[in-house]
Amino acid sequence: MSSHAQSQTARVSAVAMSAVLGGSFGYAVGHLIKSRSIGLRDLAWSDLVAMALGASLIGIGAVVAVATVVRALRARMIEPVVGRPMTPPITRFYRLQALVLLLAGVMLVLPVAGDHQYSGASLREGLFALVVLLFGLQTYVNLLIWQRSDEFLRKIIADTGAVCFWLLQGALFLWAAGEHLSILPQLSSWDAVAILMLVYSVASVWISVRRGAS
Amino acid sequence: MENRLKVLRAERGWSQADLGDRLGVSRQAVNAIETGKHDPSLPLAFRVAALFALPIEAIFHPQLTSTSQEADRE
Repeated sequence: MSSHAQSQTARVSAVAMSAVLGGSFGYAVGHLIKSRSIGLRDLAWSDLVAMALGASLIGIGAVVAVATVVRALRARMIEPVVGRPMTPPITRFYRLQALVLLLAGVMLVLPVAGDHQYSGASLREGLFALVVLLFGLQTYVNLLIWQRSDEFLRKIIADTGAVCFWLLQGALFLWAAGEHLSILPQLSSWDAVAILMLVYSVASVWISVRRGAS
Repeated sequence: MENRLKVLRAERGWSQADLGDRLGVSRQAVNAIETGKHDPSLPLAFRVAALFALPIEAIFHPQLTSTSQEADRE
């Protein structure tokens, strides 16, 4: 197969992947809203945070995935950051990052949507199995990103993890102490996950900007 | 850490991406080092020194504070 044909195949595959993911997500959200399975008033604050974060991650991931394929978008979004026309390894790296974002978004949305959509135990177990599968895949892709990153990106990832750990372990301790003394309300593990993801998202952007990753 | 990376790169007419390719790091990494937002690891500092055929201390040097200057005098 010629390089042009390979590039065409990759382009068609990426567009197809984005279309399937974006279309599925759009259909699912539309279906849920239309069937009134999810009303904003029904959602707990942590579900709202998870849905908003999930939708944002899916949106950003889809845009990055499409930008690796569409030349005009690539020239405006990615190549100024990379500093040159994208090479195949850089294209693959950005696609991996897009995949991580998409998977993270879907994993945040699925438990909330499933909770409101499915009441049967077997369906919920199936959904949980899907989340576990996606989590395993995302962990693998994250490892690939770590392996392919340079020391600067690894430093940003490590700094983000460190900031989140110190902030959240302190906050968790204080909240747990207050909760134990019946001064503060109880948090569910999903509430804690929503806070963690929110803090992680803000911290990663803040540290990237502060470190000059632009 | 202060450094002369930007000057050395400009003398050779290289872009940040060009230098990144030669060092095996991203353009963002080069930018962060040049602006003092990222201190390179020792292996990367050695690669920079080898690329420009200069000793490390001719490229990188610590930002001297009054405390460190006093310590140096002692």
